[in-house]
Amino acid sequence: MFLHTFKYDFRQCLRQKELTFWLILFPIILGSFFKVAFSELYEKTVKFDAVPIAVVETEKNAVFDQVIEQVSTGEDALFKVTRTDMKNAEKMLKDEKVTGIISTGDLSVEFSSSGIDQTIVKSFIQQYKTQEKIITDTATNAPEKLDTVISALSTDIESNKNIPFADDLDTTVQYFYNLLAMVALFGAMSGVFVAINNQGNLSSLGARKCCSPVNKLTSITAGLSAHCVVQTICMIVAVSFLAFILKIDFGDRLGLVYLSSIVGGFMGVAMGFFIGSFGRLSEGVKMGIIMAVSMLSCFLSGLMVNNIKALVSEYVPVFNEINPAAVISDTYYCLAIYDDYSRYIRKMITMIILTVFFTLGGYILTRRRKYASL
Amino acid sequence: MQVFKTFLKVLKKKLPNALIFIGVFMAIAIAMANSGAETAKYEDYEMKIGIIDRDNSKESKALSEFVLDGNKPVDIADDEDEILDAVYYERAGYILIIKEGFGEKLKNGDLNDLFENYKLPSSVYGTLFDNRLDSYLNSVGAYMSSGLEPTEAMSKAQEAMNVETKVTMKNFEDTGNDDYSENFSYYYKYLAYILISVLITALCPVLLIMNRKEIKARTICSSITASSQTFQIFLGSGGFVLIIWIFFAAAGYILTDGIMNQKVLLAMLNSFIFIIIAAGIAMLIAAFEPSSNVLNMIANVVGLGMSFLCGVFVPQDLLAEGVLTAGKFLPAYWYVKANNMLAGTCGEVFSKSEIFKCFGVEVLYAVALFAVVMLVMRVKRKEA
Repeated sequence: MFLHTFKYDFRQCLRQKELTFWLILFPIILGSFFKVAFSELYEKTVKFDAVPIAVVETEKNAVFDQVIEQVSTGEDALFKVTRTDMKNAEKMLKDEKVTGIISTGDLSVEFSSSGIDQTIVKSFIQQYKTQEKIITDTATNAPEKLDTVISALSTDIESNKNIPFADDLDTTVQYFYNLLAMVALFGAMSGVFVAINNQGNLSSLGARKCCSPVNKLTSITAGLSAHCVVQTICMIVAVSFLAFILKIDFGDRLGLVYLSSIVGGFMGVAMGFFIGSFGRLSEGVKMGIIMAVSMLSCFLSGLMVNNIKALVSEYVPVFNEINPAAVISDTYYCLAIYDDYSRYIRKMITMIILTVFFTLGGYILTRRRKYASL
Repeated sequence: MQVFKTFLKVLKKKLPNALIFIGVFMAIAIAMANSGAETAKYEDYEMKIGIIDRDNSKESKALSEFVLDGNKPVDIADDEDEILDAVYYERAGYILIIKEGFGEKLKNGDLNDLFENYKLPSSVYGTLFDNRLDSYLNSVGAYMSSGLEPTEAMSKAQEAMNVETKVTMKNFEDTGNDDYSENFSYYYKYLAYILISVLITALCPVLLIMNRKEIKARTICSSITASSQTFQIFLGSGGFVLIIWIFFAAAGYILTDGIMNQKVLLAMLNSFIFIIIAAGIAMLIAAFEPSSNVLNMIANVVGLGMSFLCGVFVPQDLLAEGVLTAGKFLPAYWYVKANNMLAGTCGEVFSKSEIFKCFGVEVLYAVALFAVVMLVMRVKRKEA
């Protein structure tokens, strides 16, 4: 009986061409948009480029000239320097050709806005002045030690070791992780039909099913399985498109990325079934609730604003552990960042627990809704 | 006004659903508006720094004090998972681990191998921070070589690093002398996404029912003229759209403590023109009669897609040239551009004439959209 119902439910899923079509098309279109929009984002926001500055000679300052020369040459130059007069420099500042203007006389700086680049300029001047102060301090207090102090100031020290984490880490990939989470949660839209199609007062198909002698558990399980199969196809297409066509970096364990997407899809379907099983609300309202839940879930997981998840983890850390979209996108993140599997497994277990919770919850809500024979 | 009445009846039926969406998007708009803000005055960039002190000595405490001076401390446990999370989600821009034995080493004048750090690869924060720390250590080393004790050298170095530098802020922008708060500009910027999503998810279902074969056939065979039908549907939609606009504009007004001035009025006008465009988009989508179940996905594709391409979520000055060029063909680009001018962000300068130019382009989009909507409706009617 299971196979019989499964067969018809599966065919019915395929007949909902529009829904399936959009479920598949949705990540393809949005993924492409994301790819285009983020093409230069990481380079422009996080990566360091030499800061363009203008230097105006209000007084001769040979030492400073030499220092500025030093830091503006070579591969990892700090500044890109333009030497010019005040009038031209201010014009450049206005046109945003330079970040700031340094006057060689009193070593004052001029900006038109504030930000990290401006801070770099200011902190450079500050460091220069600091060294100047140390040298004059020593010259007055302990002139005999001046040479050692100057050499101490210019020694290269290796005090700070960076611990690299994940090669070529690009934080914009998390938008794609969340996009996949959204596709998985949209499985809820097909999941809701399992509930509606088994409820006699909500659909004629449900009425037909209710008066058939099929065990309800069998019928619903078959329906859920059919929708899960379709959702799995959608997830596989979505991941393949992102990984192979858009070349999004998922790390080197793509098999597990597929696995977590598929389980995420199951969770989406189960969530839809659970919400769909609530009371006698109409299909439209149930759909509305599902959309509201999945949109909020994705928003709080960082689909629109990427640091929202960090904010959540600061104020309500527990929520990130149970927010479905966050759990799904975290599995991809774990695979990309960590070598060991403990965190990935924990997220997968959370996903499975949520799926089981939604499914059992749905079963409990729909059980004993029987209709007496008249 | 039969058609108008029917429209209202359908709207009433669909209202609970629409309210869910309005509520959700309202919540998202408020959360977004509060998630970011910049300052107009020059201030040193406040970095979010986490320090893990494994040495716990007098010296390491002095160092922490220096590092955190002017920066924002981030609480972080000595746990690799937590550290990686904090850096990845940019909760902390830099995490400095002070290794055990720091105090001892410093006393012996050994400045090598004192710390470990986590940061995003080649990040700006990292460069800034590393520079400052190196310079500090050099200063400490210099003071120690002149014969000072480590802690004394540290406080001297910190003092030396705080020498005043004169900073002048040039203001090239005519700010219009009005107060236009950052939160307000964020709220209005994100409204581009919100309005499109709300109208597609709330208005489309009503229009879809009006387009349903039975209702349409019934109306077409009545004595009401086609233009009167169209007019009444437009009237109904217009009323609904107006209410939604008032709702969001009022919410923005309350959120920003009721500031009202020229710039705020311009921002409101901007959003008013944009909601008409959004209504046009919603009507166009409804004219193609998708099933109501896929509306949400369409809303996301159109809303999110346009927002990412036009600089709603990602500031316009950070988008690639090509994206911006493509974005110019989308109405949201002009909406966001006008809003950036009002706020003076993304390198835009406040200029009334330029802003009205953006408004003009938006109006043209609205007109074009409605022309297409009418055309599609006419063609569909002929088919029916």
